[in-house]
Amino acid sequence: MMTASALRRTASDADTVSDTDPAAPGVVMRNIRRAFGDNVVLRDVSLHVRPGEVHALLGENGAGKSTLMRILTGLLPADEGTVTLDGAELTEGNRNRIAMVHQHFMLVPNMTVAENFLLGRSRGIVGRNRLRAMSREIESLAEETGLQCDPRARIDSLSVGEQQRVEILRALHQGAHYLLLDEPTANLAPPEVDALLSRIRDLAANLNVGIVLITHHLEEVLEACDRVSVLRGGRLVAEKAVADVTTAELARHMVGREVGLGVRRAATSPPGATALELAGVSVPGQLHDVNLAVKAGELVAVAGVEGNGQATLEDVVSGLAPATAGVVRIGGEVVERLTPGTVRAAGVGIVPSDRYTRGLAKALGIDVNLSVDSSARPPVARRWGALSRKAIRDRAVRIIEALSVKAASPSVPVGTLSGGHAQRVVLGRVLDGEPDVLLVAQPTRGLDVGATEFVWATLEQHRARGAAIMLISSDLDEICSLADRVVVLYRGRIVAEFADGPFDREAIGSAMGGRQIQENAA
Amino acid sequence: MNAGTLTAPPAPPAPSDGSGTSRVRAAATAAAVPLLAVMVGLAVGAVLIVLAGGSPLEAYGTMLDAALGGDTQLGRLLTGMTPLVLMGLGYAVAYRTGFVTIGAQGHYDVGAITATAVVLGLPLGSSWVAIPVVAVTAAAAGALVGAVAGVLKARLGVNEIISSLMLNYLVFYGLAWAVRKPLANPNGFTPESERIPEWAQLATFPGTKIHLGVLVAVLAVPAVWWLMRSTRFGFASQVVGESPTVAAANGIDVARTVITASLISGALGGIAGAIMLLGSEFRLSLAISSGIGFTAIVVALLGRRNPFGIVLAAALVSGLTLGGQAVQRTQEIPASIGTVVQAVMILTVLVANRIVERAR
Repeated sequence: MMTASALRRTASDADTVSDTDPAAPGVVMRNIRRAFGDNVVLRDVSLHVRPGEVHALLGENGAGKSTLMRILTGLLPADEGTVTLDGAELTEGNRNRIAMVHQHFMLVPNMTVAENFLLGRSRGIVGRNRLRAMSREIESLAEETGLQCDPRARIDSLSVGEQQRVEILRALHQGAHYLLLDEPTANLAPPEVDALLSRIRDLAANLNVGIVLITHHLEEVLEACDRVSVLRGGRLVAEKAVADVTTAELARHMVGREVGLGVRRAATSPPGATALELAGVSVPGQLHDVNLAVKAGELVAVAGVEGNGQATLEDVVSGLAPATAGVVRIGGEVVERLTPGTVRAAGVGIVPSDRYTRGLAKALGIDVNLSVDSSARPPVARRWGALSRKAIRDRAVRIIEALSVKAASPSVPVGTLSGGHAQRVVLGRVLDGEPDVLLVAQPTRGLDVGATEFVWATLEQHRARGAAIMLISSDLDEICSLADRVVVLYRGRIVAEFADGPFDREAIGSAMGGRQIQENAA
Repeated sequence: MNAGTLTAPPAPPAPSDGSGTSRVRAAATAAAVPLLAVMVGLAVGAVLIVLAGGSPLEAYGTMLDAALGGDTQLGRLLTGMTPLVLMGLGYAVAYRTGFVTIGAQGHYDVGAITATAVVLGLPLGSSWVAIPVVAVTAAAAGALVGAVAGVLKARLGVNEIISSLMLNYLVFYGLAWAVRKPLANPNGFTPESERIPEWAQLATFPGTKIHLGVLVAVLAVPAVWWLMRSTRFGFASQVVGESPTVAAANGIDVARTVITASLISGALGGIAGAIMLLGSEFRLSLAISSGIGFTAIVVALLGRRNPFGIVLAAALVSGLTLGGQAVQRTQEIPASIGTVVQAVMILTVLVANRIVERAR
């Protein structure tokens, strides 16, 4: 038995798998297997999180990370394998020592921090005294952990980063010694990310908390973690000390091949005429006098953290929200009434940030989704309101082939595709007509490394073809890899502009976080 | 007229096309739920028949005979199916855009009122003139009522289930007023109109009770099938119905699509009402508003909102109604057993759809 499993390990491409002693301190998951029907999502996975360490859990979408975490938090039983916690079997009695902080917070928005802490933990009427006592406890815990927090603040008045601190504090307050953080940095501005990562390090170092950090960002692993485990296709493919790895190596483990993170850029020909221009565009309370020009063959990134106006900017240029002032010129012509129809007719292709509320109707087939923007034009449209089903199908077959969308048939509902392949469908639809102008918003949000690479390469290919691309993104890697020019949107204004790479990531990051930097490398 | 149970279920999207075996399998899956519903319905009906002191075999034999047993029976079945098919199609067209109207009864009533008013009020004198004029005016009246709910939904986001239900009441009391005042029969004792003249009645095929209206339904089925499948409106409906936000972001006019659908479903209901008046009822009375618009929703749901499925479902529902009446006449078993069987079928469809969805 022992030799068999040892053999299997040598045979797999795992670098090391810790021979975990179930009595060891920490969370020890051994040889976990879990299947849903015929679909085995975890095979022989072992994970050891020691007290006081930050342990990164990496893996592409669908690698089995969330299933593993659900087993650890008791939401799902394992088919095989054992889980022990500081040498004891995991039971209802000690499960509260492990807490998960979800990407979407489990807080009641119209209650205060202290009230949220009392939720589900107190019977009867919550009087002022109990709230006051709880507030004091929160304050002292905040002091101890360095996670600043006002117990009397209402949740909906807090920023995303502050709410996250509340979640972490609450988990600690409820007795957690092990924290599972699910993509905690996904919605934070770069300075907030740094602050969070250093707090996480402090928690581990000072309070001996064991932390599992699930993330897509490889730099964060190197920056904040002690050890890293990589899942691929339900197997543990690497477990290493962070000191011994590089980001390229981690990326290779995740996708099982060498990814050139970063994009090979075609020789840049000088940009052509201005293809998309925003002049003095304003929306009260959202955008203030935004001026921006994108030339043919140029990719301009609009960097910014959520809530600083990029969503509104996307809406305005997409024709979904009217600007109260300013004009948008496409190909030199002012578009008088911006609607999704007129914008498209003027030659703009749009990759929306919200893939499933604007890009794709999940329940409909790939074929239908690929034609939603072109049902009014030939060849799909025919005389007298009829349409050609053959044209729809031909178009689908062509695009599926061109972008290698993994699908059993063109009529498969889009909702059954993985995020990366769903985004291929969007890209395929938008790029099919080779539009002169592209508005691309958060194109790799939630995508894994392989899919991200594909999206980046595709965008670069169209930039090189001569498309003018406006990229709205919160992802610094993406911005620095793709952009010819970067502008930063903060509280609805363009507060900084960076021309010509390589870009200073720190400076862009600070500007995204609101630090006013007047830099002009032009 | 148990409207409460009849609001539409979010049925799983029927697998669209595909080729070869997958197509056959898709058709089999689509048919499985209604077939199951029919069987469960008949089984429950059998139990009730036994409780009522009858023999299920004998009773179902009588029902079958009443529905298909001869030329007269077939004629009655087909004329009974006609309004159900037309309004079922209307429901399906609207539902596809996410517009869950239960206004068919109102469309039907207003169609019948319009047909009566036109025939009794205008000196048309010949069926060659009367039938086209009635068809156009009744369809327009139905469409107008349908569009009220459509415009309210498209422009203001008013819930169409409530607005179309309330419009049914408005139209019904309009009917009640019409048969007492402007269209009242001066020689009648009950609130009703005069009988419409011979020339305005729909011609029947020689030797049968099958009238021209049946032909309208026969033509409407492939027409609606084509409309849903092979037109821009049908394509837009599908996208709007599944995701209005995706439709809007990609340049499809959501409001126009919803309003068009409400017009079409209203027009089909108006025509159904006119056909019933000119083909079977021959005079306007309160009895014409018998809840048939709600039965049409039952038909659309049983037929899974597929035009051809709606025909089968209409035949089944119509046959159960006729059969129920026959059983009551010959075996003293209440005709309402037929209605109970329909209700059980619908409940089975709803439950089975949910189970199929969850299994996915």
